[in-house]
Amino acid sequence: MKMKRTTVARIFWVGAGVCVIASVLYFMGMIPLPVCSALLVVTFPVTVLSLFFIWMAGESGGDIPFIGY
Amino acid sequence: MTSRSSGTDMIAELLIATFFGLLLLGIHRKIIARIQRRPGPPIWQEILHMLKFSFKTTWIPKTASPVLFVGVVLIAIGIWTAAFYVLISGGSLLVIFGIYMLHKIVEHGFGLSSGSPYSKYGGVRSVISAASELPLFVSVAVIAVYTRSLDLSAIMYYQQVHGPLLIIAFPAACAMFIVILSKMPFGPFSIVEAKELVSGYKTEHFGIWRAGLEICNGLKTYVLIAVFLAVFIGPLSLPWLLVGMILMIVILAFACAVTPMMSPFDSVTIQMLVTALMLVYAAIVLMVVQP
Repeated sequence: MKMKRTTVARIFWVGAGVCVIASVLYFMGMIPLPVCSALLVVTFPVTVLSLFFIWMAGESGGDIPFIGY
Repeated sequence: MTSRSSGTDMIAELLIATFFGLLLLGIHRKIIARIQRRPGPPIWQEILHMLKFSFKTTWIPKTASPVLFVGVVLIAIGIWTAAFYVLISGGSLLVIFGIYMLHKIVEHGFGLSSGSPYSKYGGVRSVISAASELPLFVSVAVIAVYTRSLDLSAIMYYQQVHGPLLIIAFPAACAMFIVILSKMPFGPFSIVEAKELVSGYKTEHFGIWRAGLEICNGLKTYVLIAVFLAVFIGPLSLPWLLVGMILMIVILAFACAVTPMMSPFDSVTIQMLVTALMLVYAAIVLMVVQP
């Protein structure tokens, strides 16, 4: 399962955009707190992980972990 | 605890809570080290850990279930983000403790997802340590008897009128302290991360996945300690909240430093014993407060 860095960057910008827009809309009183929170709960984890992926995404295949003696 | 008129950015609050939670974990490690006469890492070590892991090369082990392996990291951050917003909106205590319970399932998911036996044992121990939630139920019941509500805002209002629940319901505070202690690293009840299991349920989650897990741990630590202060001390201004959280982490670190990690059976036995004592206390409270 591989994903291009440009795709990850797009996911990050979409996630970050949703986070900021939700926060601004809540601040302006256009959406209630539960809606803003729900949007942030969904997008914040995706945004954080995609940001990390932009920094460092492995190109190699999967490793085989130690599975016991 | 916060309002729209305060103009505080919700994302900034979330990030500050995450980093402060990681800083608390760093203070926790430092204090344990100093008590044990070791120099210990700097207090910002957990923040550095998170950043370090985020720059590591990352992949998914071949034996892992890819969807579960990645999904649990997202869920772990998501549920504590939700808990954070329930906390700052003064929402229901039951939702926060529901999320606390959900974290057990997430830990179990971490353990099962990678295919590694160390992770699996960590996940299994996480289920065993569900006994730590039992004192939580009783302490929540006692709080409900006193305040007749489980909304954090109502509980804090009750304390403004009647004084801190830490004094009124001290045994309930002790029970919840044990619950938080069971979630702290290097503690007597930290059986899910015991050294014989390498890193327990998170053994195979490295690189970016571990960085995500560190974020979850930072948020979790912040939320649990802030909830304890809100429920047993009452509403606090930001400087006093931060002082209270640091004081709490110091007490937790002392408890972790001077007690050895128990075996899974001893850990469960003690937690069941605490539950039994709390049940007796809850029965007395019920008879006295609501005769």
